[in-house]
Order: sequence, then C-alpha cells, then structure tokens
Amino acid sequence: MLAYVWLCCCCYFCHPEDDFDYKPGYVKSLKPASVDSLEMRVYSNDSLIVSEYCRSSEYGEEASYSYEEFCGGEDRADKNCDLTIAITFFCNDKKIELPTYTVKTKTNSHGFADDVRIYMAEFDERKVSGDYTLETFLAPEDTSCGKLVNYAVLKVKEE
Amino acid sequence: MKRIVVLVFCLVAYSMAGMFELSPLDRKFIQNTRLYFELSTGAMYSVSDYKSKSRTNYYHDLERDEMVYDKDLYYNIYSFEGFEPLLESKVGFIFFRRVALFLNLGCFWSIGEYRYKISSRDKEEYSEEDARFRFFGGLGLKWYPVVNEQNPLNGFFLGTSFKLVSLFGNEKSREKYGMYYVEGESFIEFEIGKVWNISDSYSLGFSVKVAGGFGGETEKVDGFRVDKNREQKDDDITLNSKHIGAVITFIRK
Repeated sequence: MLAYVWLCCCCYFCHPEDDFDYKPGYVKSLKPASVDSLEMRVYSNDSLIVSEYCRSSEYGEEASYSYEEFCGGEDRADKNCDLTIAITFFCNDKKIELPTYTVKTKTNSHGFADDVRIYMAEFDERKVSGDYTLETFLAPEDTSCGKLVNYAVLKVKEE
Repeated sequence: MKRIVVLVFCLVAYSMAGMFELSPLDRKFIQNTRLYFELSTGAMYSVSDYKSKSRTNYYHDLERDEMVYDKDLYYNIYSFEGFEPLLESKVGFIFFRRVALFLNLGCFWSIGEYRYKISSRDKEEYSEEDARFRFFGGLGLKWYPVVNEQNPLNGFFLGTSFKLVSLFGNEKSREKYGMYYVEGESFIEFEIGKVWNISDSYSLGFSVKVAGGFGGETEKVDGFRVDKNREQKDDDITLNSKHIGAVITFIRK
C-alpha cells in the first residue's frame, strides 16, 4: 500500500507539470452590441496566422483563437512567441480598425506555450467577475460605430 | 459467528472499562458542571457602512462617454442606521458557577433608514425605510468573577460571543437597484451586566452589549465571466457595522 502511494506521489510530482493542469492560452474578442460584426486577425512577425469572424447580432458572441497550435510544440521549446491581435469592427458599411495589442508568450522546455488568456470586451467592472487584470483600452480613432471607449483587454488569471 | 461477536464485544468492553473510571478531581469537575440556559430580549442601535473597492479604478462616464480613472472609486455603497430589536438564546454548560460556555442562536430586525449609491461617482442616491430580518448563530462565554453571595458584586459578569449573521432581505434591494450586497457578516460582541438570583436555579439579569460586524460574506465566483446580467460578486468588501444595546436576560443554571 505504501509503495503504491509512493508511486502515485512520485508519478504526480515527477511528471512534466503541464500534462495535468495545462490549459492552452487563448484570445477571445466579444462583439459590442452596437457593432454589426467583428473580425479578429492574429499575426506573428507581420504574417497572418488566422482570421476569425463573429457575425451574430447576439450580444456576447465572440471570435476566439487558441494559440497553442502555433506557439506550442517541441520545435518551439524555450522560445518566445509574440502574437499581435488586430480587431476590426463593421457597422453600417463602415470598417473600423482598433489599435493592435501584442500578446507575449513563451514556450517552455516541454513545448507548452504560456497559458495566457486574453479577453477583449466592453468593460463594465460591475458585470465582470473572477480573477483578472485590466491591461489597456482599445478605443478606435474613427468613432463611426460609436466611441467604444470601454473596449478593453483583460488578462484572465484564473478561468 | 455470534460467539465471535460476543467475544469481541467483551474484549472491547474490558479494554475500555478503565477509561470511564473517574478520578476524584474529574468527579468534582462533573459535580460542579451544570446546564446553562439563557433567554434574552432587548434592542440595539446600529450604524453600518458597506462598500466595495474598485479593482481597476476605471469608471465609464456615460454622459461624456469617457473612461475616467479614479483612485478612490467604490461600488455598491450602502449604509444603514436604525434600531434592532433582538431575541437571543444561549445553551451550554456552566463550570463552578463561574464560567459559562455556550452556543447562541437568535434573530433581530434591522429597522431604519437604508441609503444606497451604485458608485461613488454617481450623484443619485436612494433612500428607503425598511425592516429586515437577520438570523445568527455562534458561540461564546461568560465569566462570573464573584460567586460569594454576600459580596455586592455577586452576579456581575463579563461576556463575549462570536456570531455569524445572515443578512436576509438585502436581495430586495438587489432587484430594485441592481446592486450587489453583503449577504452575511461576522460579529464580535462584548457584554457587561449583572444578574439577580430569583431562586437557586433561576436568575434575572440586565446587560449592556457592544458588537462590531466585519468581513462581508459573499457568494464565491468560480472562473472568469463577462455577463451583462451579472452583478459583480467579489469578496473584497469593506465592511463596518457598529452596534450598541441593552438586553434583559432570563437565566437557568
């Protein structure tokens, strides 16, 4: 019995950390209600990796991208993996670009990317719960779709 | 099989028999331990202030449609001032007629003026008169320093209690103003008073008590959510409630 418990403990503590608790990082962009649709593009060194759309008129619909498949893998072990997020809003035939935001991640020696979770949404502190930090606001210069001054980047510490 | 069970029972009984032999000291302690029961009624005057500190310190000014940074930004601000009629029972043991240890259970009503403000930057403030039911449970002790009945200080006591209080009724305001409120708090209470013996077992007393409420007890949130229908639920609520009052007590010991 003791040997069994010892084996279990050893297996748990000696195993690469990530297998048990690892949750891949992601970027999620929520579409504001005043906007018809949203496009989220993810770049690495100016190369487009992925483009996600959110067309639904329903509030809370999101475009999301899990960057583990790009930043993860043994060939990227111990390397930095910076991703630039560009958001575009569409409303009334207008196309509004938001300032870009760069997510800095690092892939560990086992080939697992940092589990940095980024949420981009209209921010109202009273409607957000959980453990997060406010990184910055991404208000567009063109206010054709609304000033959207509270469109924020939140880094989620614990999901 | 039955024989084995009986044999095991006998062995266990034999091995444990020594445990229940009382030493003279234990016997004296048990002889001087009595059941303690107390029923109190009275009222307290209460002043409470509740508010939660902003995590980000950014406020969306809707009139100017701008994000405003405010280092002293608070949400869910509300206060209460009024009277609290209360009913309380205490059940436990009293040792050597000096120290009573008990569990207490009771309730009170917070009757008075409730004032609300959603954010510290809001100009609008709500106010209403209401009576809200509160229920509590906890534990405490009382110390009777003088047991000599000839001494004029006989019956004088000091007491303290720790209570968990459920603040029922706050959800009414949540629905009305869309605010989030503390649902429970912890009380530390101190009491000073005197009892007069009516008979060998019964006494009647009067005491003055002060209590402080702290540490708002709120619903925990698992994970991160953005939900337009959800109110912020966090546990960083600054809480400050003060109570002072007097009670009449009926004691059986």
